[in-house]
Amino acid sequence: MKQHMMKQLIAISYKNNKLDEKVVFKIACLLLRKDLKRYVRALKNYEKKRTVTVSLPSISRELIHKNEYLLKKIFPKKEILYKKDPLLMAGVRFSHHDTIFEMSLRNTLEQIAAHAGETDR
Amino acid sequence: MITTEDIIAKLEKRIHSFNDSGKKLNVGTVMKNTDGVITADGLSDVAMGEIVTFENGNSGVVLNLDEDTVSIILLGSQENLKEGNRVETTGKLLSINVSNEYLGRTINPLGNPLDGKPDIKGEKDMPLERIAPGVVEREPVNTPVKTGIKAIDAMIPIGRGQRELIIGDRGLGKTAIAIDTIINQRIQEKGHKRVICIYVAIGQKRSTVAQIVNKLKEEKALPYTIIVVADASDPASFQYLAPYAGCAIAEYFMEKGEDVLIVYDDLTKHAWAYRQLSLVLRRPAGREAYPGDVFYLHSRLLERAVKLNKEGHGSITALPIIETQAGDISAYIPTNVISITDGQIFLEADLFNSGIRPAINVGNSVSRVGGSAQTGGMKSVAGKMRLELAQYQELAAFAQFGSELDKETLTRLERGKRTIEIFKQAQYHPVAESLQIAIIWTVSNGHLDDIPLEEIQRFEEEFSQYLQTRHKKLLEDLGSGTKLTEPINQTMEKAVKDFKQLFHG
Repeated sequence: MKQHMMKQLIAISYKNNKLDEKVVFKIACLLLRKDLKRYVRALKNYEKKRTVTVSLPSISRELIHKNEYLLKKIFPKKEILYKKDPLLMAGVRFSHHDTIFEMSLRNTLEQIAAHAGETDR
Repeated sequence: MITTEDIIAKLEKRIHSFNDSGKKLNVGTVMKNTDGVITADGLSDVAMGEIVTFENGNSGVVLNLDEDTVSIILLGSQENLKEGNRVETTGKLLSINVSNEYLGRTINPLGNPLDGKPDIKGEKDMPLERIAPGVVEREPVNTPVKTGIKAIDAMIPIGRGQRELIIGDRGLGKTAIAIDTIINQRIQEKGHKRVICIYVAIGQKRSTVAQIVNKLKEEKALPYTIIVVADASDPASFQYLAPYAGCAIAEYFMEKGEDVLIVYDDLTKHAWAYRQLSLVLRRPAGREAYPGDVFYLHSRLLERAVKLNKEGHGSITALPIIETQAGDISAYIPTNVISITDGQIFLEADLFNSGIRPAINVGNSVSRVGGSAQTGGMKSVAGKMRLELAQYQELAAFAQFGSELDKETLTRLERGKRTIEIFKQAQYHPVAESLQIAIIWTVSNGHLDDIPLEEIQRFEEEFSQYLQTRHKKLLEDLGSGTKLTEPINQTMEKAVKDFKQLFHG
């Protein structure tokens, strides 16, 4: 199956910006094993592209409400998901498709160590 | 003495210059691994030649950018690498952290020591891939690299900044010429800078590399030599990167104003490694299944050999080696490299089998730019001798058919035989330039015409000893780099006559 056909399949798998389970099931039944693998991968990639995952050390309804407008402005037309990650010390991580932005205490400490190492040389 | 206040002030200064900008990562997922070439999706911001790191701690270099995927060559073991593993970009291009501590060490193309000695502390990151210096930064070759091999120094001279190919079948002494040249660099000539040597072993047996390292150690050549090894058991990616790593190290020393000699042993195996990678990367195959850019693979490497014109700046002299099959120099890779380099030293199996070692075929060998780097003394004796040798080869071909020859032809044939005899030289026995000039002068002026052919080697050996013990001043004059003057010629004449009396007596 050619790349543009796969893109068409992905496009028809969504209705009103939401994954249509019935269509996906129909497509999955018709595809060969090799193409099915590609289809699943392409769906996952598309999902990653349309969602932004915000990882926080702790999540509260108040915090989500407070930042909702700002995040919608930064990531327009993207679905925003919140994830709890206690390892993130005083920080936040945004994951969008294959790009990750991280601002945390741990990251700052690592950068200071790397900076000191560079100037030591 | 450093006080506590100084340390605090320094730390404060460092912290002030620190910029906390957050961390941006570009990630991908491993899709498949085909013979050390990883296909990954994601990594939309990755650059060609960028280093990426895998979840298992391994690293790789990006070699192909496709529409939805990237192809990465692994720099390490494939163990524990699974489909679905995360890959991260680093934002760094492949480089090697070089310092003076590399001298005398045996390393892999990533700069990790292979000699069991402690880790090497780097000083400067040198990129493996780099654009060669431009026309404005270069100057013509004008300083010789003395190989210590009579046939080369006299007839195919090499200059600093030159690229001279060593080509021939297997087992004819290509590596021997390169190693002899490295050994000869331990003698630092007056008025010339030292030469740092880098030997890059590509796809060779470990036992061969070990032998070379031991020989260099024995000959006290290791302190100024660096050995970069990607042996036959290393992945193709290492063999592909090895010459570029060697060149990056050479550039580090060149930037410090040093003269560097780099030996690529050999570029045939380098082309094989690149062919393997290209086929796995599914790049279109061309002639002999090599990819279309196999010429560029070698041209961009050898273009980095240079003589810089800036005051105090150095040079890189490259001695690439190519192995031919049954003496066929018109094959794909040999013709490519011949056209890139500034000349070639062609070794022939027939000469080797007839006992002429080094088995250099003077007719097919050439140095396009080295002549201007040859010293005055050598020039004045070598020009005449080369002409005589060419005449001998022509006459020898005709003499095979004729039975009766005139006296002059016979004299030329006999002198030609003696000239060839003096070019025979044992391995690991480089000869000083002054002694080379002395013996070439002797044969060119007909002083060996009355010495039987089988006595020539003994004559040369004893004559060299005689000059070293009784005519030190004459040797100094011969090695001074100036043209041979009439008084020097007269002293030579007298020295040869005196020695011949001793020799015959």
